[in-house]
Amino acid sequence: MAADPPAVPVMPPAPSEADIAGFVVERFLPGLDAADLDPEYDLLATAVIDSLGILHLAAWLSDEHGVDLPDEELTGRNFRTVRAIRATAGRAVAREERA
Amino acid sequence: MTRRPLPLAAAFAARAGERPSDPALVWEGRTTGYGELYAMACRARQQVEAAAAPYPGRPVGLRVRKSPEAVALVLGCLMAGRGFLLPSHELPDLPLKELYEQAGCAVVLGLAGDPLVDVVVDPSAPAACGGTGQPRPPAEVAEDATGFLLTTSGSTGLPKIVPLSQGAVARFTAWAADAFALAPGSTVLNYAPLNFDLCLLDVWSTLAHGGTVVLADPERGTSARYLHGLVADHRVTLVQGVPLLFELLSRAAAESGPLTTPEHLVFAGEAMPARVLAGLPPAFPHARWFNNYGCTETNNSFLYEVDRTRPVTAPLPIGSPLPGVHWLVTGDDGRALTGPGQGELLVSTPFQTTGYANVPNGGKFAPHPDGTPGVVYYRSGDVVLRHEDGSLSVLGRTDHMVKVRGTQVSTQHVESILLEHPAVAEAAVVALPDPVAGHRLHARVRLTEPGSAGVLALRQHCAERTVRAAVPSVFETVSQPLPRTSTGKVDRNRIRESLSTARP
Repeated sequence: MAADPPAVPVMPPAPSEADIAGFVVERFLPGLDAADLDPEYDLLATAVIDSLGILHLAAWLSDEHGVDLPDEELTGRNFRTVRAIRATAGRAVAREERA
Repeated sequence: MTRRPLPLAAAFAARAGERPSDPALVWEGRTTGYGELYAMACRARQQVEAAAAPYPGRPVGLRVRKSPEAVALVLGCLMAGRGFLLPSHELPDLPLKELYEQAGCAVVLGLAGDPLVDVVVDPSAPAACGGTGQPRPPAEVAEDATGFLLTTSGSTGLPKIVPLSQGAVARFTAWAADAFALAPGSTVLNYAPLNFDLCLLDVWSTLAHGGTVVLADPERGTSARYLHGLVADHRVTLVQGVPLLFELLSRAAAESGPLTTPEHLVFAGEAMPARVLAGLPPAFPHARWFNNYGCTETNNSFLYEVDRTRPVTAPLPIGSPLPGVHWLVTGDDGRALTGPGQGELLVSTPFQTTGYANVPNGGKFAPHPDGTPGVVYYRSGDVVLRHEDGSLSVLGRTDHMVKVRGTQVSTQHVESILLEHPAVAEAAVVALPDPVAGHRLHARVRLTEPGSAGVLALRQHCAERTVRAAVPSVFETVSQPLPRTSTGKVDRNRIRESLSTARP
């Protein structure tokens, strides 16, 4: 069988924690240095993001990184920290690669 | 209190007769004895009577800064049986003029020439008391006759004029003397400007009971060393004031030594932050602490003595109602709570006004169907929490309650949480309209030192202490002191205006 490359475009990698922290700071914590945002900092309890913020983040993942999240992934738990957002995006990328 | 207490002027005159050489006032290092102050008050009385004679029954306006002469002028009005409006001298001329008019002032009296002053009074002028040289006793006054006309702090618009009857002030001074053992030998620091309701305790109750008032110059009210010197040098036994005063005294005590003479500390005006409370024990090793709750309309209504043998947590409870005070807490339906819960505090005190002189009372003073029949309650505008054991804590003002994503939030409560953070020196939280959330909270915070706490740490601090809706959506840290109103409270209106004009 010919080893032709697959005709589908290569999936972009999921955004890194630094990318996500950069967006969260730019959009929700203006004036802060993104490096100061601990990846485990609870963004929900501290009201940095609310449900509207989750939608903003999902739209950013889709528009800027081509990562589309199914509705059932849009839960608070999946957006609680930068690390959780990274894992959520990572799962979505893995799912698309499998598909 | 079974005996009817003496009116303030009569009580002062009696003290002056008993112990004329006792110190009444200390000002700028100079002591004025009771006899001397009485003579000054007599001279002021004559001049008040002469100036106001054509206008029987009308109050006079006073335009004075704090000084022994100003104290004598107030006493002179009381001795003449004249009502007097005592507004803040910091008010601009235009609103001040309006206030004098609204109060129906016959003439405006001052101690120095001024465009607003009709008659300059000189309590030190040599004219003796009465033509015969014999001092006349203070005029007889009816219990319900108006004496003091104070003003509210008025963060919005013109201050409201609060008339206090001779009887109300007499009852107040009797209570204060009882509660804080005011007597000859007591030395009381007066920090507030002379027009503040706090002076009913620290100036007027002290003079009615033979103690000494150490007058602090409001111009130097932020000098920690000056204030520490006043307390230490004059062996002050009672200190009443806003948290700022106690913060300044504690700071100075850390450098210049503890203040060992104060026996009573009375917290007033706003809630004491945890950080300020924590600084008190080394600064005042022998003092009892009292949290005082009241307002200009009712004067003191609740008092809480802090139990120093147990851990102290902020905000302090407001404690028990004073003798003769009626109170209830109304819930959302306007009915009185019968158990634990949250609502507006309604109070009635033996010291309260009968209503504003210049604006409609707007339902602020009224009987309540669930209250004691015949008792007129004042709607305090304070939201309180009634605990299981019946004690009360103040959560904030009803007008500081906003809805954020459907949750009732007190911006003042959020401020008090921020002030508990050791790195926060000042905090203001304002609610801005938000199309989605209803309101969003904006916190402006001045740190004790730049960089001493990050925005993330402050968010975390709030999140650990309150519901998520009460965590401000924006935290702004500044290095400049927050703007304050003429009465020293953080000027949230100015902050809100600066934010709504800065953003589209």
